[in-house]
Amino acid sequence: MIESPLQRRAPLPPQLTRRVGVLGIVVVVMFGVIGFRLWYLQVLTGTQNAARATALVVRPIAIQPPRGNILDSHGNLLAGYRVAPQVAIVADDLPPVGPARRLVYRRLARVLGIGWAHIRAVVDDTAIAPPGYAPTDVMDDVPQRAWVYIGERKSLFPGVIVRQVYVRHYPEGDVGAVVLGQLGQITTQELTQSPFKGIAAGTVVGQSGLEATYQAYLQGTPGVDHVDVDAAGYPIAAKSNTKQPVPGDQLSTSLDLGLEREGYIAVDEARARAPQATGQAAPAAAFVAMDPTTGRVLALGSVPSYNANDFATPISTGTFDAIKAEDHALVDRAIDGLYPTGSTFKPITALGALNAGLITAQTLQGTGSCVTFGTTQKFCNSGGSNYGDVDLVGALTQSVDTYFYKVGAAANDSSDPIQSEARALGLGSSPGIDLPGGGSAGVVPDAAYIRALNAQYVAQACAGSHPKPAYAKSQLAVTACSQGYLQPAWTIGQNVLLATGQGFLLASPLQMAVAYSAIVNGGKVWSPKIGWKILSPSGALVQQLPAPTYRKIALNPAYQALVMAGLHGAAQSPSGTSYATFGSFPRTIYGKTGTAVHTGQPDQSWYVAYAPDPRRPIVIAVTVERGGFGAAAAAPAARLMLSQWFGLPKHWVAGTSTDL
Amino acid sequence: MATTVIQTPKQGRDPATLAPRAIRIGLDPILTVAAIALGVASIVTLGGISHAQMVRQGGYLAVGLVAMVVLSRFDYSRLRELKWGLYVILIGAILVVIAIGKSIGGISTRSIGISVFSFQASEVGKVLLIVFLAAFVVDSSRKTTGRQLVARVMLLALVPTMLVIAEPDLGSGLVYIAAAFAVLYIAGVEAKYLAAVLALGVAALALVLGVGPLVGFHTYQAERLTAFLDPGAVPASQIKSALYQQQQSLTAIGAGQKFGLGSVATNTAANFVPLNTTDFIFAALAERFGFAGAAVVLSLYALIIWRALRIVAAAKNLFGALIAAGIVAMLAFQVFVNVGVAVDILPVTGVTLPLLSYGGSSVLTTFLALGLLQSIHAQARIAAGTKGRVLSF
Repeated sequence: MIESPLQRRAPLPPQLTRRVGVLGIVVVVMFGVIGFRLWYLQVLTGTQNAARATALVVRPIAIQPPRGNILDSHGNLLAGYRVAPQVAIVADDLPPVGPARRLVYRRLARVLGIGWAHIRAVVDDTAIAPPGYAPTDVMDDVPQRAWVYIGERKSLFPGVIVRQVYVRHYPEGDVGAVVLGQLGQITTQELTQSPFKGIAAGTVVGQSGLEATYQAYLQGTPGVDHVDVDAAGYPIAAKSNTKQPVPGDQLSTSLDLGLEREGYIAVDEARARAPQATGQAAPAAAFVAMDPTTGRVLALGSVPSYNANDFATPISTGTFDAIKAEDHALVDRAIDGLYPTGSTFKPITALGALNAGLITAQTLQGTGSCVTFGTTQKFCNSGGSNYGDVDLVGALTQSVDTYFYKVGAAANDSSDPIQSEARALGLGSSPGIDLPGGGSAGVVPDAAYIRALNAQYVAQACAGSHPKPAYAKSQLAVTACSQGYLQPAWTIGQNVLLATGQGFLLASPLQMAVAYSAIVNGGKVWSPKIGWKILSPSGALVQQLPAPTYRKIALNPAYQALVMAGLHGAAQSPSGTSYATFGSFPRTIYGKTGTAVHTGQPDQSWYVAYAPDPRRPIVIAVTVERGGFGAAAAAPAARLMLSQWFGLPKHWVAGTSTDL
Repeated sequence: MATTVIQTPKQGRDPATLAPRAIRIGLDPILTVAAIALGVASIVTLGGISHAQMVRQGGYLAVGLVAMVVLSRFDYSRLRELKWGLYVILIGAILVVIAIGKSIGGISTRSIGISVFSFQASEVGKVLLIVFLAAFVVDSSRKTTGRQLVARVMLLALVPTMLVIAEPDLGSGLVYIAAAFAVLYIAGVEAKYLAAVLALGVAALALVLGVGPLVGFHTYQAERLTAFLDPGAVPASQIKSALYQQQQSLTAIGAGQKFGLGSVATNTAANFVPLNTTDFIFAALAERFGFAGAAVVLSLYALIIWRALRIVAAAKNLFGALIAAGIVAMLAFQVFVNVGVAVDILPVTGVTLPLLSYGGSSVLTTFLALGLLQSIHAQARIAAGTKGRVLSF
């Protein structure tokens, strides 16, 4: 059925040429569209795309600098750094959300031996950070095997990087943890706050303690690695344009490492011995040591403590919970622990009364074991002792409560001289130490304070004579609202209690150290400082930090001498309350025991000591919660610290004085 | 038409085949040079991405070139008699691919694995379908009305189209439709029927992409289209996969600027642009050689299409004109869609860029098409020589 070629040839349609022309026009239009689009992309807006392409290919990876060291006054290391193998994730390089990404999480979790949900949580928490290429720290101190395994199988772990990073290291562990502070990733709020301005999201910064106060000096400047990476995020070319990180400057402090260590040993010893005296465990303690002539802090500590290194790397929930479970281990009790101070307040009472003319050096009073004011308010010496009538020095030496009860009663009829003196010496206001918050203010109670307290509570909890719904279940609120106040109005009894450091009085160990420093140094009320100098990484002086400042108060030298005599007697005269502890101490010591009474639990032990050394004067305030009498726990702890300070043999010498 | 010199051929052979040898060496020089130039562009571009692929592409191009020359020596007119055979091979190959074919990129099955090289039936099917449709139109044109012809041609084209779309290879399916449309158009079918076909096609596309997802159609195609039309409507994670290719491609192309980044071009080389040697090779080209390089390559395609249109007009018979028209549509459509996707004016469809994209099936298919064009050109020259037709460039 082969046709002849001529027959086979179908006629060409007449409009062929025209239709070919139309086809040609269609093609020209298509090419025109593409041509204009290319012109637009490459010639008109090409520059922008070039910048975008560079951002894709050359990835800046921040190199965090080592944080500056924190040193004690002799150059001993309190906080340094070490190098640790780290596994981090660049969220943008992970596979898209879904099974592929979960697979990477699971694989990584198996290698690292952690839960994959944890990895997801870490990435999700920081994925919002604006520069998407900031690697998110997943794990520091990765076991060597896991680190190598991941590094050699990059294709199995897209978005995962292994690298060496600088990690904060606290060689002393628990010692001084709360003073040095914690590190943590910068928070969203902090990003906009002044000390952190310019710091990239995801950076680890100081969150408390000295790490926070001196953040700006310690941080250093991150370097940048410009790394050519492929679509999977792996470097494809040699590192280029590396800008080395600038290590942070060093912070030199006035702390004395030996004294700091001894402080922790001493209060731990006091806590360990507390059950023998009180039958109960002593949960917590704090101490402050400062130079009364310069205002510099020599040691400062708070227990229970925690290992500061736990916060140097991302802390696990378990570790954090364990630290939190320890009675407020993260609170710096030395500056923020507010307590009644017991008899350590008596020198303040004495000065206030002397200034107001309520007593003189010759005033003799306090006989009897109890004194009664009005008809019902009866106040007694501890253990019912009767010291007979004593003068001021004797009253301080033996801590005679009845003497000060009478002073307190007399002062209540005057214009609050005790309160004025306490405030003058720094109680009731923040000491302004160079730690976040500057130290708590505490309370110096008076009639106005009770009124304000009542007004505040009633406004907060009461609607008329009934509690607001939120407080309906509180018996306290029901009572307070029905009677219109929380606390009865100021009574003479309150002032009597204040005279012995009880009642509503609240002060921190730091405030007591500052107050005693002012008494012994002639009236300089310090804003104490820990930071001293800023040194370059190589140790050259960069900046002398501002010296501690003080407020000068009027302190009559005669009155000062009287109180000092009382304090010296209390420590080193045979009738003194802490004679058992300091009577044999080879240095001149001024000191005062305190025993703060807490309803329903063992007493809180206080001791504030002053050692007048021409070169190394020191004031130490120690308190041990539920530690028993001042002479039993705090005084021997103070002795251990003073022994350390003066290089003397260290012995635990507890007294048995039951004076408050 | 000019009068023929030979009135009564004795052996039933076309006199054209008896023409002097000198005239029979009739490769269109511009077409040939442009094709070789595109092959060089492909090798240069691939060289910046993958040495192994560049070497293999060189092999494919050489084989393709030989195939083109060989094919140009045959009289395409013989293929008319084989039209049903070609159609059966076309459908059969696609079915085999669907049945036993292996997956490329984990999603679609487009090729039959033959140990040496995996063969994509849908690619070579383009040429097979064009020849078949041209033959079918020629054989039916005197027997059927325009309406019937259009209906039959479109139905016959739709069978392989639906099959390759089911693979799924939407791109090849669209090429089939475009080629069928061009064949009908050049065959002189009335414009109203073509308009109706066009309307049907748009409706079908809307159905496939719009309703398809509801009845289990591969979601990645619908996703790409949705992401292209309205990036805000797709969840971010899916946008990343659907729009990622195009975004990266745009960035790379733009980065090329006027004269390209040359060897510094790393976006495409570093795999930021997926499929950077196949569907998105244009991005690699435009990044390395800039607007200038892209314009040169597009000009080469324009040259080829111009020559092909000339061949349509000069073909010695309708069969040749229709084959050439189908090939014009195939090449122009693939260039337009492939580059259109790369420059983000069309949704991602998965069409190769003729001669540039890495891949044996695509290269061979294009050279077979060019070989057919050369054959039509040669036959036209011979016929013109014997018939005294004037053939001008």
